Amino acid sequence: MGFWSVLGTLVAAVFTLAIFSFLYKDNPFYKAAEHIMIGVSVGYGLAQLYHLGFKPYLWNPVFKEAQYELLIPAAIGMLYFGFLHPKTRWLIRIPIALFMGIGSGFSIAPSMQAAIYTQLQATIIPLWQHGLTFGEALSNILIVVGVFTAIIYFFFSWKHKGVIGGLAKAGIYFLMIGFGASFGLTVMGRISLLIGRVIFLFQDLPKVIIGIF
Amino acid sequence: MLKLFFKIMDLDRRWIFLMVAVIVTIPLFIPSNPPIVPDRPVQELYNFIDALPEGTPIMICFDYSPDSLAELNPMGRALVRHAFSKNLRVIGLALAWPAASGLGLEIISSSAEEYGKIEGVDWAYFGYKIGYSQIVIGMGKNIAQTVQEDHKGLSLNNMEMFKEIKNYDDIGIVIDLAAGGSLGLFVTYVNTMYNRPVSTGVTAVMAADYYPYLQSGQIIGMLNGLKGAADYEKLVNRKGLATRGMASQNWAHIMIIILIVLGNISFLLTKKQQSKQ
Repeated sequence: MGFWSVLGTLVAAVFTLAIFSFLYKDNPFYKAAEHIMIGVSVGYGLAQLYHLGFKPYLWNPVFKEAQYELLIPAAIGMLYFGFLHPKTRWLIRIPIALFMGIGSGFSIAPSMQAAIYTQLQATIIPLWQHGLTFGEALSNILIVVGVFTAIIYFFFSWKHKGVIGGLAKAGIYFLMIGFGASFGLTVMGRISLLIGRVIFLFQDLPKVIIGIF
Repeated sequence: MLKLFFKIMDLDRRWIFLMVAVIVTIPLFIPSNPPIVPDRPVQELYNFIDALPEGTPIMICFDYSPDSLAELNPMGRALVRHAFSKNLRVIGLALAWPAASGLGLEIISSSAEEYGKIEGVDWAYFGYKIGYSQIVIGMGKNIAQTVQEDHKGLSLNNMEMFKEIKNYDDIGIVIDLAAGGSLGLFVTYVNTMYNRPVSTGVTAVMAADYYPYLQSGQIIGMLNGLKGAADYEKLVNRKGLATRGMASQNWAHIMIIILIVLGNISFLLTKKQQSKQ
C-alpha cells in the first residue's frame, strides 16, 4: 500500500470517528470535521467544474480553436451574475427562461410518457385470468385497488363522506403502508452505511495499521 | 415490569446508538453464513446480463458519492465481475457526483485486472462528465461525439472499442447505480426516448420510489441496497463486502423491530397510566 493510500485511510478513520462523536454530544471535533467536509466538497466540485466544464467546453474551443460563436451562450450564462446587484437582478430571467424553454422542450414529451402514460398503463392489468398464480392475482388486485383509493383520497371536489369517505380512508391506509415500507427501507439503508463504516474501522483499518509496522 | 416499560420512555437515546453499534459490530467477528436468497428483481437483472451475447457492451453509470459506497460499491463490483466473466465489454461513467469518478474507475480497473481485460478494447471509463441530461440524451445519438474523451483524456474516436459502438443501440443494457433521483433520467430518455433496456442498483432509501418502474417493466430488475448487492454476489458466486455485512444487517433489523414493539407498548402503557391519573 502506497504512502498516500495509507495516509488517506488514516485520515478517513479520524474523520469517521470525529463525525460519530456527535452521537454522544456536539463537540469541536465534529464541528471541525463537518466544516472541513463542506469546504473540501465545494473546492473539489469547483475544480471539477473548471477542468471538465469551463476549460473543455469554453476556454479551449474559444481561445485555441477560434470558435467565437461560443461566446454568445457564455455571455447569456454570465447574466446569472446580474443577481449580485439589485438594479441588474432582472437580467437573470433571460438565462433562466432559455434553460426552462430548452429543458421543457426536451423533457415534457418523454417525461409524460415515462412517468404518466406508462405508469397508468401498468395499472390496467387483469385481476384474474388463466395462468396467473394466486399471488400474482392478489398483487394485481392490490395495485388496482391501491391506485384507485389513493387517487380518491386526493380528490377534493367531493366531501369525504359515505362511500367516497370509505374509499378515501382505504386510500390513506394504502399510503400509510407505502410510507411504512419507505421508512423500513430507510432504516435498512442507514444500517448498511453504518455496517460499511464498521467494516472499515474494525477490519480494513487494522490491516493498514499492521502494514505500517 | 411496568416500571421497566415506563423507564423505556425516558431512555437516553445514546443507549440505543450504543446498542446498534454493538449489534452491528459483533456479528462481523463471529463467523456466520446467513442464508441469502436472491430476490426476483435481482435474479431478473442477472438473467438478462447472463443471456447477453459475448462481446456485448454494457454501460454502468456510477451516480453516487463516497457516503453511499457501502451499498453501491459492492453492486458495481459484482455487476462488473459478472460482465467480465461472461466476456461482455464494460463502459463506465459518472454523471451526478464528481466524487464518483474515482469510485467507478477503481471498480472497473481492479475487476479488469482480475479477468485480464484490456482498457480501450474490453472496457472504457469516461470519468465524471458535466452535462447530466445533455450527456444522457447525446449518447443516444453518438457516444464518441458527446463524451469525446475518456478519463485519461484520450479521444474515443481512437479507441478500438468505439469503432463498433456508436450509440445506445449498440449497448446491451444501461445500468444506473443511483444514490439519488438519477434513474428517472435514464428511464425518461434511454428507455422511453431511445427504447433501450435500463436497470438500476439503488440505495435502500431510494428503492421505494423506483418499484413502480419495475412493476411497469420500464426497468429490468433492480438491486435494492446492501441486500440487493449481497444477492448479486451470491449469484456471481463471489462473496464481497455486502455478504460480509448481511449478518450484522439481520441482527440490527431484529433489534430495531424489538425496540419498536417495546417503544409502542411503553407508549400505550404510559398513556393509559396518565389517563387514569
